Amino acid sequence: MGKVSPKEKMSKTSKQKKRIHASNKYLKPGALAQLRNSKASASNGKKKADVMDAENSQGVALFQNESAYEYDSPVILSPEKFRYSNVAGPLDVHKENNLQRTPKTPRDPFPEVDRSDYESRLESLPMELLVKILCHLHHDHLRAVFHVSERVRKAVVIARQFYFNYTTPDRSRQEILCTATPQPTEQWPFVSKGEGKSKDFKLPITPKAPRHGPRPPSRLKLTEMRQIAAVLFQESAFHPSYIVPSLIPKTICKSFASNRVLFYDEELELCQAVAQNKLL
Amino acid sequence: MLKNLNSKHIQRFSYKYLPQFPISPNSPKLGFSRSQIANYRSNFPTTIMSSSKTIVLRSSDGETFEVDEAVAVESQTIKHMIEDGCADTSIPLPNVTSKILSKVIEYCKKHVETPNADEKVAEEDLKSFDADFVKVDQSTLFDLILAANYLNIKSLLDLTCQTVADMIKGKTPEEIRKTFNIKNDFTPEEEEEVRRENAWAFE
Repeated sequence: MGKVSPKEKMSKTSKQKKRIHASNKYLKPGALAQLRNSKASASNGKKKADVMDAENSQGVALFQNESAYEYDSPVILSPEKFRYSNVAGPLDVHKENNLQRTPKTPRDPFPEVDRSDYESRLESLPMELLVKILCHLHHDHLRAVFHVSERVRKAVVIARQFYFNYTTPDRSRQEILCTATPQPTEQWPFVSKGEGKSKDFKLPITPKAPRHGPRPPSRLKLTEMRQIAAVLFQESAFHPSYIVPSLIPKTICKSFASNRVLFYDEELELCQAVAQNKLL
Repeated sequence: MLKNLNSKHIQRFSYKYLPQFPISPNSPKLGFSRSQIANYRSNFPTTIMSSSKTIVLRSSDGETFEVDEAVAVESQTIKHMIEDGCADTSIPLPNVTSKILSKVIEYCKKHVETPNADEKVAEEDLKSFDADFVKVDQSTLFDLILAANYLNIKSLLDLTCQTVADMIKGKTPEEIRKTFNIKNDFTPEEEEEVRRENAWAFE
């Protein structure tokens, strides 16, 4: 509420200018109705489709224009008067088309007027705060809240759309729900499903990932491996019994089961050189 | 040569960036003693950080509250107003009454004073403070939610919303309606239909 007024004051002049320019681009208010009437009277059957298209394309523009007016006008004044007094020109058009006005865009999806009708403080909170409160609940509480009232139901739907659908339910809680004795006063979401309880005891089964195809046989041969893979440290510090050169290449082969080992030519030469203890 | 220059520069720096402070201890304006001034000078690097600036907040019913800036900037709304330079006189808060504003200030003060990170004792103390803080009637609780939302104080908003959520948890729809004085605007047929249709949506 407090945000509207400073914007109003600052952007009035700039929006006035915009409006004058905008009125050249788009239809002037009331002109569309005139057009519609003149076209309707001229041709009935054939050109109705064209008129509809024209209306839609111009209507969108007009609605944009109108919505710009709507936000600028202060709450107290009636929108029509304020709107037309700032547009350069067609006051006459306005007078003529007073009866043939185009429909106004709705000002606010959740009009504030309804909020004063609610007795409950909870319901008279703005919708976003209601959703925020609901987001502190667990998944299984949502069902009870869903049946409270119309406005709360809207909030539940929004909360589900934007939050609960992307949040993992607390599985440990659900396990407790399965095992604990239900109280007669409490509402249990699993009441309808008798057999489903035993299934839900463990984590729900995730769809199985597709299996990988059979891997192509390893391109690495044992003889090549001996050339490439060499014992780096041949000092006596390493106990010779730990080093079994004949076996090492085999184990290395196993870990190299994937066919992703690619050697460039240079690397291959380098490895060979290292194996032979010759570096160029 | 360069070293000498540097030391001179540093000396000059320390005097230059001191706030214009009358050095004579007999100055009537500030009434600081000589020892206090000496302390001030010796503590130069640290004292410049603690600004004792206060912000005046005005509630919707005209009552003014003077708070430290550190406490006031717990509210993002007020913080932005200060940064934009609107805080020269007092900050008007037309959506908050004095009763609620005093509670909010109490909350902010407590949270600023408590150094959060280290001690468990401080943490527990803060938790018990929070628990007592929200033991108020429903009307005040909802006013606190609206105020925390308007002033954009995340921790207070989370605390109050969690409290209301705890009041909703585990209750049947009828009990929820009773707690919050909500009117049931569903017809019985509507309700029955919804119960049947939406059974699948709730697992």
